[in-house]
Amino acid sequence: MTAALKPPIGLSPMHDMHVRVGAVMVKQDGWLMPSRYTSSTEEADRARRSAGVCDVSSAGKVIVYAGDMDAVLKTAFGLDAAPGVLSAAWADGALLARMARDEVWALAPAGGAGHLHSRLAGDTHAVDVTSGLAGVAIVGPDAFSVLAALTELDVSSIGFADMTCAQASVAEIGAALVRRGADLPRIDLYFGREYGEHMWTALLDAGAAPMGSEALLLLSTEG
Amino acid sequence: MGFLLSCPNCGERTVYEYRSGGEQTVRPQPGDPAQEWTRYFYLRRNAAGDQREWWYHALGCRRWFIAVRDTVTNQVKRTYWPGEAGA
Amino acid sequence: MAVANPEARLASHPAQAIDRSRLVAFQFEGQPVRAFEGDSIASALYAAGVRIFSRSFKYHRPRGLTCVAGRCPNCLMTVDGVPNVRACVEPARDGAVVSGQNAWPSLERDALSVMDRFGWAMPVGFYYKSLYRPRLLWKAVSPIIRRVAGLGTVNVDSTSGAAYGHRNQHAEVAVVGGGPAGMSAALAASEAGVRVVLVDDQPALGGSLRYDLRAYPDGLGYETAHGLAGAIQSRSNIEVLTGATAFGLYEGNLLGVHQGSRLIKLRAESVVAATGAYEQPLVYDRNDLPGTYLSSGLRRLMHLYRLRPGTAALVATTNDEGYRATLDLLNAGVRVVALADSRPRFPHDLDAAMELQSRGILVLPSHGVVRAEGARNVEGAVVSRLDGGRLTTEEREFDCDLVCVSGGFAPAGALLAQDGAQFAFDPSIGESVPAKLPEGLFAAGSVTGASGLDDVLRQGREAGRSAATGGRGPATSPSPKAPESAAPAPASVAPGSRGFVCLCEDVTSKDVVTAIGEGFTDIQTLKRYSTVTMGPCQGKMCHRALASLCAGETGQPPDVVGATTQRPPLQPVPLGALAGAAHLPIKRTPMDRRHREMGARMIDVGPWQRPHSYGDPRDECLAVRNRVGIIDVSTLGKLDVAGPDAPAFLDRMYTHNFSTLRPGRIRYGMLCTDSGSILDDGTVTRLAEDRYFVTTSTTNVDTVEDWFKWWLAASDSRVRVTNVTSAYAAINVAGPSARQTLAKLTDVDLAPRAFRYMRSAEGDVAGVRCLFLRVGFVGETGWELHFPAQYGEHIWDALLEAGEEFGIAPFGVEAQRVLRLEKKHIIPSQDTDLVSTPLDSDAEWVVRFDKEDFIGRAGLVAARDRGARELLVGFVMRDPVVPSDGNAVTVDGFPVGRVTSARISPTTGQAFGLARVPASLAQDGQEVHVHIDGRDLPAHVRLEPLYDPEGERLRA
Repeated sequence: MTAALKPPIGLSPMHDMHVRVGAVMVKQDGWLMPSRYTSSTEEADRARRSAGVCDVSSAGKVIVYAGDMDAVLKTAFGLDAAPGVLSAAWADGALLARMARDEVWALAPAGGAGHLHSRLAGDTHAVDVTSGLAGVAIVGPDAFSVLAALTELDVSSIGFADMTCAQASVAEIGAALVRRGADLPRIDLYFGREYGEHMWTALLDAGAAPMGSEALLLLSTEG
Repeated sequence: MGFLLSCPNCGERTVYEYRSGGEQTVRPQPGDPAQEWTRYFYLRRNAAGDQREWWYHALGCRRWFIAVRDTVTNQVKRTYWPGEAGA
Repeated sequence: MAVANPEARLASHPAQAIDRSRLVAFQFEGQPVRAFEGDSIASALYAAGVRIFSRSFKYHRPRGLTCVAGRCPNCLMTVDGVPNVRACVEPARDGAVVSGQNAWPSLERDALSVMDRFGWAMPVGFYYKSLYRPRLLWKAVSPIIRRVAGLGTVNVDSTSGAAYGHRNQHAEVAVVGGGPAGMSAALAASEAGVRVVLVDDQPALGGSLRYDLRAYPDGLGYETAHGLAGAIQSRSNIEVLTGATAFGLYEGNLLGVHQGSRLIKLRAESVVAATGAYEQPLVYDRNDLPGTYLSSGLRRLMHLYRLRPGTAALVATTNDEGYRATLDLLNAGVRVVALADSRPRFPHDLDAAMELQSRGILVLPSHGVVRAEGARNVEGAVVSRLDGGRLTTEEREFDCDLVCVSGGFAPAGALLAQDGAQFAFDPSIGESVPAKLPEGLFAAGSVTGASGLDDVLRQGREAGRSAATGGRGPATSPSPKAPESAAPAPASVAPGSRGFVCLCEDVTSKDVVTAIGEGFTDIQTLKRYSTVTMGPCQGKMCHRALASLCAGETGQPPDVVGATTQRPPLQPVPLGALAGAAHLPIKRTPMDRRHREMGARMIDVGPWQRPHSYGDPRDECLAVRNRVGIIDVSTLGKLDVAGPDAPAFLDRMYTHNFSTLRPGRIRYGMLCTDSGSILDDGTVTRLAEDRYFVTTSTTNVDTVEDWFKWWLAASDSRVRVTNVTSAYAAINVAGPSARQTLAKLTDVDLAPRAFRYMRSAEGDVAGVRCLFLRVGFVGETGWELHFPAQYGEHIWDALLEAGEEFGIAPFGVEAQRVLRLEKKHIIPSQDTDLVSTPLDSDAEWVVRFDKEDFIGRAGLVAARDRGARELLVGFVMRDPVVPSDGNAVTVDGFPVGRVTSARISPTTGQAFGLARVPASLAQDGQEVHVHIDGRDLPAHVRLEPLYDPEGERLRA
């Protein structure tokens, strides 16, 4: 007989860091995530001027392996022209980052991993890594210089072009990076969730200001 | 501040992103004489010059590949996937 | 002192670096100092009347500004708590707090200057000769030496110092040196459309052109400098780093650049070294007195900072620069008492020389300076006639308050040398110049030995263009031969006990000669013995003098004497800058916050932070044995191994069989290297026909992942290995009440017959999907729950709440170690070492020799045939004294084995553990001794686990 318990709620690995600075936490798709720290408009403004960092750990993340990846992307996502290795493409709200010839990271909004999974068929192997990977979005013109403090990868606006991806050492740990914004640069960073506190601290020390999901939404609806 | 190594998947990175797997060896077959196995366990050519060796892109794509490295100058001449022709 | 004395400054000039309309104020030794914007700390102090800028390393001799370019050690000061800052290139900033170093009570009145009288007691090689016997002497003397000798003091308690950080930067072309060659190289590269970074160690671009007032076809020197700097600023693809020292060139064209509190790792496809040349001092008695300047230093003082360096000057030179400096001194209103040129002929074809002649200045060809007069500053100087390069006794004395010296220019080729450039001695200029450059490396300007602005600019343009277009530049641009008369003369070395070769470490020419006489004739060993070139200047001011002394004393030609190796860093770099921001990659589990809230003592386990204990580990052990405990085991390595060939693959990897394991079952597995050594252990759960869930020990998951992938890389097995360690939080619920606790949270049937030991199932716990593994590392009824990491706190809280009525307690790593030891469960790397095999580690049962092949089989067959020499056994001490890991197991006083783990058993109160002993002693009840704190204490071997040897509780 199971006792009556409160429903489970997912916590980001940076949860404690958000709470400690008084972030307003809201439930989103089964996760408790920071919606703002001070004011959404201020946070968005700061990102437009310099760089903001937003916790997107609740995003759905599925690693897809397939021998004939081009065919899989066509049938599962209707992509006629599959992104080349180390490039990314949008398909139906999901960002597909091709990390290798036979490996694609499918990144969806929170709660979207199951949906991604269900599309896959044929000779593929998919692993849902939503729980294992922390994610942050670094947004703003200074996103490049923030990352340049932490990685030897060339993350300048020239060296790391829009809609490309890479896996590299960032703050001494292995991480995946996807650039998904040209006018207002945005680089998403995914890394093992056990390093949440480490990476968040390193990013803030490198000059990024924390930004809640409301500000991120404001910025992304601007286009 | 070490030398550069080009992962066949990710491109050129510093050696600190990788883990070395040592020089390429050939595993004897079950039933081969013990001396063959001993040689395989414990002896390495340790060439002063070009050497084919295993490298693992630990902080990148987490895949193994082969590099031809000059052990004297640390210059990496070529890298390729293990299945590819290494000639 | 106090305020800037406007009288100290010369009238404004377009070349000046200072802006007199903007004032800056800082503190020097408690006194306010006012400076102009653009002043360096040193120029502002100079204007305020300071002449003694440091006290020397050993003898506490007063030292003054000399190079004014951040090369020599004479103006090292402590600025805002940071020691050894080069005050002559450190911009004066509002609010800065500046003080002198290595002096007490002050730079002006340093009580320790008495050291200068004890030079006889400190010969070269002092440490090697004086303090090695008796050994206690060093202990007594070293604190005194450390107090008396040295540089600034690092404030180890300070957290207010600069916050250091790193930056990685990428460019197609990196240009080092912002002089005319470097600037034109940057512009040419930029015009080719590539990203360029220009690094210069001075406060502003321009190099020697900044203070060059000569007229060139395109304008005055400084005008050309300003023009080029302006052109660079307007190029969007050039990034300029000023006040930035490129201290090393590493593999892969990586430049280490130190700029303030930052370390920049600049990676470039091509590097242009336009590093210029260092003007050299002359060696004569008291060549270190304040009031002694390099000619370039004087011109910086006068033209950039508009400071009047004195009233009467003696100029001593080996080359044309002395004449130009003399003209500049005259134009600044300084009287020049004489110009001593070591060259035999008056340079009639030099415009400056002709002008000096017309102005009636006494020029003395074939003359060198032999000594300066004065104690705290220059009061006079004596020159002597040279005969064939040797000093004669024909001396002339002059009254003066400054000596301007120019010993020629040594190309700054260290960066080139670090990247493998080859050098050749060019007798026409008496210097080594780059002769052969590796691919991707280019040189331009005076580092190549070139002189003449046109040549320097042309070289820069060519190098920049070649660097940008991936071309291979000329090995070196041939430098046009200087006219015969302009060729510098070798500098003479005058005798005297205070003629310093090395200003950094107070080494005199006499010391160097003594060292050579003692047999240190090779320049590399001479360097190590005398410490010349090993101080803060790293040879910039002393290498040439050391080499020429070495050549002179040993009779070897300069190209045979060669050069010392100029390793990075070329300029000292604060350790903080090298270390960067303090971000240790620490791994935290999903329940980390809960552990800290509960007051757990956290310890490092590999990269992880884990609770050691929440209180008394003994209580935690008893809670697990008698009630129920939970431990966060999220750190366990977890691998998803899937694919049609997964069963065969695991059979090959492990000593055991896993193709025969039925889905829903778990088996313990051991991984060995091919030679049979234990690599790791863990459990393997078959989730489905083609999918396994593999756990590894906490610190070995990366090793096992790499290992699996390595064996797969060379095969065509259809297996995918994914490291899912981070994805799953894991909790082990163990103890007699574990079942009742869990039953409150799940519908999974946990009854003994329904859920047996070493079985797995999936089901919800408190609303979260979990994988249940019934395993028993701690030896009680228990389940390992694996579930999505984001629910870590949720499940942890739910278990503690559900178990409250049963007296549940969280337990940490320490309790787990004790509990597993009671069960004689081994921990690889703790109880095994690099050569341990399953056969000698109480795990023979996991090796299936009946398999045709598996990784480790051949090695284990050999080990089996050889027979084990030592075995891992349990032992129990007669008295409750716990040995440390590694303590010797002894027989008749001789060490024969070692303890690998030991604790006090909370259940029996005995001290017990695991040990490796000779196979002959591996008998139940065998008496041995364990060496603890100098005594051999009795113990006996026990082959069975101390606790529940039959495993009844585990299976209950």
